[in-house]
Amino acid sequence: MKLPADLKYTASHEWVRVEPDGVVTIGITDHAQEALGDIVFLELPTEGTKIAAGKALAVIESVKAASDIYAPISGEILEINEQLADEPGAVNADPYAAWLLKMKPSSEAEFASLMDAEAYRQSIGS
Amino acid sequence: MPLNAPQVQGIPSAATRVRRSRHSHFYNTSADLGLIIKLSLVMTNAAFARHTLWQCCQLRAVQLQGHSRPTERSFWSLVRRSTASSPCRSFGTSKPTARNNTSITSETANVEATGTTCPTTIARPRLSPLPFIYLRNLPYERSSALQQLLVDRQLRLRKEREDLRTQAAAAAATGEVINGLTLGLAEDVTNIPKEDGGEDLILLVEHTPTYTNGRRNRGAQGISDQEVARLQSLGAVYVESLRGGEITFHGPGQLVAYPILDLKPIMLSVRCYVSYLEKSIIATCAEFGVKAITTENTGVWISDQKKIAAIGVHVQRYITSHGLALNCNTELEFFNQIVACGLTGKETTSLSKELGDPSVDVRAVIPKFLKGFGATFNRELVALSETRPELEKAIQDYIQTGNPEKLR
Repeated sequence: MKLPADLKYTASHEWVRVEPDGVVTIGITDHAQEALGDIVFLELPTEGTKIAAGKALAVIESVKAASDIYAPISGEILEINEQLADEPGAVNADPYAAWLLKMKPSSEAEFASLMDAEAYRQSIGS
Repeated sequence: MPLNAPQVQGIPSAATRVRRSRHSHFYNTSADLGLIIKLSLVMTNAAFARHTLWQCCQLRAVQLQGHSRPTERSFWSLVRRSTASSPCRSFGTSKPTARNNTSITSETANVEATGTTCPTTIARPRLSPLPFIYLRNLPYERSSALQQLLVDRQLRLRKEREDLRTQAAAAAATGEVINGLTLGLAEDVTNIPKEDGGEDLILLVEHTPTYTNGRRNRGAQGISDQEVARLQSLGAVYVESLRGGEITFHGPGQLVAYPILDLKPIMLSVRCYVSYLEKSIIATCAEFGVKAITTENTGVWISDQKKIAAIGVHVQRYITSHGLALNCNTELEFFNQIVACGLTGKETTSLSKELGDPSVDVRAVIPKFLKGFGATFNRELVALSETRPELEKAIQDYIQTGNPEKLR
């Protein structure tokens, strides 16, 4: 189970990377992509959308089911990964390289509620 | 809801094609179904037991307005045929029975984690019984709205339980008074309902004729207006849904099951949950002597070409909605009008077509389905009207009036 140590994680299986310029990149973990199965479609928010932590952010559709993804932090959507429209399977192939979207966080205080790799590993019982 | 589908040349009205079983008046409500299933467990050859059962059901038949009394022999043979060895072990109670006490093994957790295979059984022994409710002639959009209310309700209740646990743990740890909760709450921790799927339920539905499409095909990505008009001219409505998957048809003669389950206590991933739905359908078909399989395409098949059941699921924070649709004696001509599920070159079949018996309708299939589902998910099935009558009433009220107050 791949679990890069330099990322932050949420209990709902998203990973979060804080870039040097303060922008936050978000994706789903290896555990999540295995649990979903072959991903065929991603419904991502439009750029400019403002979203609060914990609200539905995106929907990932696998061959079997459509599952909601939730915002790990509050902020504004800056950019979505256009490549995923043509290659949704990239998320299965390398979930840490196939980022979903980039956000400008509205409050750095929320980072404190994110888990590190070890805490996330324990939360999934791995 | 009246089934007034306009007559269109070439496609008989779905309402008239569904031939009701002679015995359909026996279980007009899921309460009756629950009664039948529970009482069937008392089936023995003892004359007393048979006569008691007969008395109860005569009384029930009298209560159903306008229905003639069945003969004792015809009723008995129906019950015996449809509910032999039901998984529904409770009789008058809703306590879970002692089951094979396999504890949650780390092996199961690891299998899930590596994602290569799904667990062969649901190992958790103490899931609460799963209530079911049967809703006929239910318009699709009303049922989607109902499901979302039920999902929101489950999420809200789960959050309340989590908050209570957090507060109780904090009070126990520090001995402080928190929000009016005192140390005494440490004992109350045991009164917080456990995570045993206690708010789960399963809706069993027959829809009015409806074409539905998955969330990928909404709005700008949807089918053309001409296509929508064409489908409507066939006597169906067209609805864009939030489930996964492509276009399909729902209508009379098709058993649609919407399990609203919390996947966390069951410890199934989304992928494995769908696999379990497929297994339930295969088990149901087996009860009729029909051998069904899974293929590389989602759903349940009779061969590589013929699809008998479709699956499309939505998951929100581990709570499932939408589900499966199994063709019992559906008017299959509706499927010929579309490329069902986006799969060209395949055809749709039904139980009655495979058996050459048009009387295999939804009511005949429901008891078998409950049995197959219960066996696959290792869970007891009980009638919602028996275990949670106030919730059943709230659901019926919402369906009649569209007022969601009681479900909030």
